[in-house]
This record gives sequence, structure tokens and C-alpha cells, in this order.
Amino acid sequence: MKAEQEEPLPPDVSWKKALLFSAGFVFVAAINAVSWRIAPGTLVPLKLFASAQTAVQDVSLSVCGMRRLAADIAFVEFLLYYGTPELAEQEHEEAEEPHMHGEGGVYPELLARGRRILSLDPHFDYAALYIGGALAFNQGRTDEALMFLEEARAREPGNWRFVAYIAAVGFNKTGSMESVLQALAPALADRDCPSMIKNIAAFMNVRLGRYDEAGRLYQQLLDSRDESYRASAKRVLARLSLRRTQPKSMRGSR
Amino acid sequence: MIDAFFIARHSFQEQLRGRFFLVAVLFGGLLLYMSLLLGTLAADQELRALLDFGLSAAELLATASAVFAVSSGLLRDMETKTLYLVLSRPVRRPAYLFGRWLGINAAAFCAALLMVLLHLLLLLSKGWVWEPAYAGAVCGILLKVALTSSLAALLAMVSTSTLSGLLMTAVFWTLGHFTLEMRQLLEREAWRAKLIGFTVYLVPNLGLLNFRDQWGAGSREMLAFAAGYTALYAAACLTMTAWLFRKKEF
Repeated sequence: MKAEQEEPLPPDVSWKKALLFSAGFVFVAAINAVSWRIAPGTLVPLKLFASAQTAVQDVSLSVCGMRRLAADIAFVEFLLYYGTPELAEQEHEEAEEPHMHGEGGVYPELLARGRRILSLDPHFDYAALYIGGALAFNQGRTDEALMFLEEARAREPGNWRFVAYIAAVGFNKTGSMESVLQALAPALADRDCPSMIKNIAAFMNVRLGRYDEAGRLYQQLLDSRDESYRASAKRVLARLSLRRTQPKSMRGSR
Repeated sequence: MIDAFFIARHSFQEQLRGRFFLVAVLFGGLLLYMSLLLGTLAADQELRALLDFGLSAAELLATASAVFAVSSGLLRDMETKTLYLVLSRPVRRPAYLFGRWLGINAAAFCAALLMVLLHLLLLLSKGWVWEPAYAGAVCGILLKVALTSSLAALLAMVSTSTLSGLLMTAVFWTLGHFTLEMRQLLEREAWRAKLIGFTVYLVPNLGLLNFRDQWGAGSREMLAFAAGYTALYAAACLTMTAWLFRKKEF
């Protein structure tokens, strides 16, 4: 009975509706297609690395348009992972596999974590340089470091920092500290140079007897936002200043 | 047009008085405060972490407040018959719709800008140096809010409840950030890709407006293009909404 009381819609309304919505959808599709063609963007499709847990985290943040934030969180997780040596040792002992520092036995996830960060934000230079440096100079995994830095350079071919680092890692393989420092020189002068690289370069300078250059780098490290580098720089600077005040005959005994 | 302006003003004031809006702004402030923790953990990259977290929080909350207001406001006005009071005057339905959308967006923009101001103060106090890319990222946020709220208006009109409208908007919003991956799937020509092929062309290309994730890519030309895209997409959504609204019986 109720259906009879209701006034039926005019017959042309559904056609009009269908037409208008079709036109609307076609219009939206057209502007989307044009936007893809004209402005493809600087991001690359997301690739998932590491564990399932991190994959869920990365995808969740990416679908909210927060890939840079996801990369930041991944980098913080990387720092926590890399800054916890005991855990890595313990895990390794449980696995009962023989290993030595610098032979690939410690921090096996370094490369995977680095790739994960770069997949989320291909322009996160700092993380790429930090991880590349850690692999090459701290862990001695030169081949992995070179592979990783080449991948980072492929994503951002115009970035000179990667070229400098790749050269430095290459020289490090040959054991020439002087050449490493020479290759790193432009990167060290850069404002965004990771503290870890400055620390390594300063250490190499000390080994080569270039105390003034080492002192300059340690001075810069006093402004680092990382407490551990600040403390280390303070310690070494105190040692260097003590060295300057001591007579030459006493320096050899230290 | 004058009617739309008055409705926009009323809608703007209504939003500022609304509880959800206030909670969103307060929560935004709280998130900014919490971002300090993440910044500390990021060591040398503290400023970058603060920058990304703050901008993401501002965008998320501004979008949520705008979408919620658009989805719930239209349906609530219909259910509570408040709409009769407005439409019994010589106010055309599209003017009402556009005015309401405009007012809600103006309020969401104010909320976003307030959070951005707090964020800037926090960053500057930490020694951050101004970068023009920041302005581009904020523009992108505002464009995304406008586009998403216009889509929310359309979906609210085709849905039967506020919740379903919100859910549909959330689905489109998330897919909008995944267009790059969906397009890649399409190019592979898998049979599954064919099924989603049509959807890919309909979801908003939010990646285009995401200058936060493409730091420094927001040149003037790109911003102008993104603004044009948003205007066209929002116009298409609002036109379809207005048409549905014109035919709607209360």
C-alpha cells in the first residue's frame, strides 16, 4: 500500500543520474591519468624488507602517506639495533655459530635494515651514509657497503656524497687510510656529515699523526646531538691537549 | 554565492565551538610534545624526526576533523531536520552544500595552521633553520584536507550512516596514498590488477599532494599543478554531491 502512495521518480532521472556519474568518473579518471603523466613524483613503489612485523608497520604508515616518518622510525630502530652489541653477541652465541667482529658475524641485519630505510625514503642520505659507513669502516664488510652505497646512488644519481663514500670505501679495502681521508674530505666538510663518519675520520687522523686535523674534527663532534660521540670527543680532546703540553720524550711512552 | 558565504561562516563558527575540533587541536599539541621523545631517540636526526612527526600529526588531525565534520554534519542536519530551517529560506541546495564544505574546511585549515605554528616554534627552539620546503609541505597538507573532505561529502551522500561514510572515505584515503603501488600492479598485467584497474583511476592521487614525503619537490609549478588537480577533483566530487543532494528527499 505504501509503495502505491509514493510518487515514482520521473523516468529520465535514472538516465540523467547514470550519465552525470559516468561523466564525473570519466573526468576524475582523466585528471588522474594526466596527473600521473605530468607529475610522476619522486617516490618509488614500496618494497618490503626485514621481518613481517616491520612490514606491517611500514605498510601502515605508508598508506597514511607517512613514508618519511616510517623511515625515521626505521632509522631509530636501526640505531637501537646497532647500539646494542650485547644482544647481538648473545643471539649469536645462542645460534652457536663462530664469528668475529668485522667478518659479517655481528649485526647480520645491517644491510636489510638499510635497504628497508631507503625503500621508505630514497632521499634519506644521512641514513644511507651512516649505514654504508658502519658496514665499511666499523664492520669491515666492504662488499656489502659498496653494494648498499651503489644502490643508494642509483636512487639519487646526482648526489656527490655517495661518490665520495664509494671512493673512500674502495680505498679502505686497500688499507690506505690517507686515500680514504682524501676521498672523504668533501663529505667531512659537509654540514650533514654523520657523526660516526667524522669520528672514524678523526680516529684515522690520530693514527696518521695528524693531530691538528683530528682535533678539528673532534671539536665538531662536541656539537653532535649524539651524547656518546660528544663524550668520546671530549675524552680524546683532553688526551690530545695533554699530549701537546707534554715534552716530546714522554709522548712515546703513552 | 552570498548564501554560501553566510552558511560557511555559520559552519566555521559551529566547528570552532565543536568538541571534536577542540579535542583534535589539543591532541595535536600533545602529539607534538610526544614527538620530542622520538626526536631524542633519533640522535643526530632529531630535527628530521621532529619535523616529520609534527607535520604528519597536523595533517592527520586536520583531515580527521574535516572528514568527520563533513560526514556527520550533512547526515545529522538531515536527520534532525535542521536542514528544513535553512532550505525553507531562499537558499539553494548547492549553496548550502558548498557553504557547509567551505566553512568546515576553513575551520580545519585554522586547526592545521595552529598546529603548524606550534610545530614551528618547537622546531625553531631546537635550532632548526627555515627551509622553503616546509611551506610546500604545509600547502600539500591543506590541499589534501580540501580534497579528502570533498570526497567525504560525496561518500556521505551515497552512504546510509555516518560510520559507513567515514569508513568509505578512510578506504579511499588510504588507497590514495598507494596509487604508485597500484599502478605498478596494473603494469604487470596480472589478472588481479585488471579487477582493480578501474578503481586506480578513481581514487584521488594523494601522492601528488604529499610534499611531506617528497621533501623539496614542492616547487611553485608543482604546487600550482597540485592546486589545480585538487580544485578539479574537489569540483567533480562536489558537483556529484550537489546533484545527489538536489534529488534527495527528506
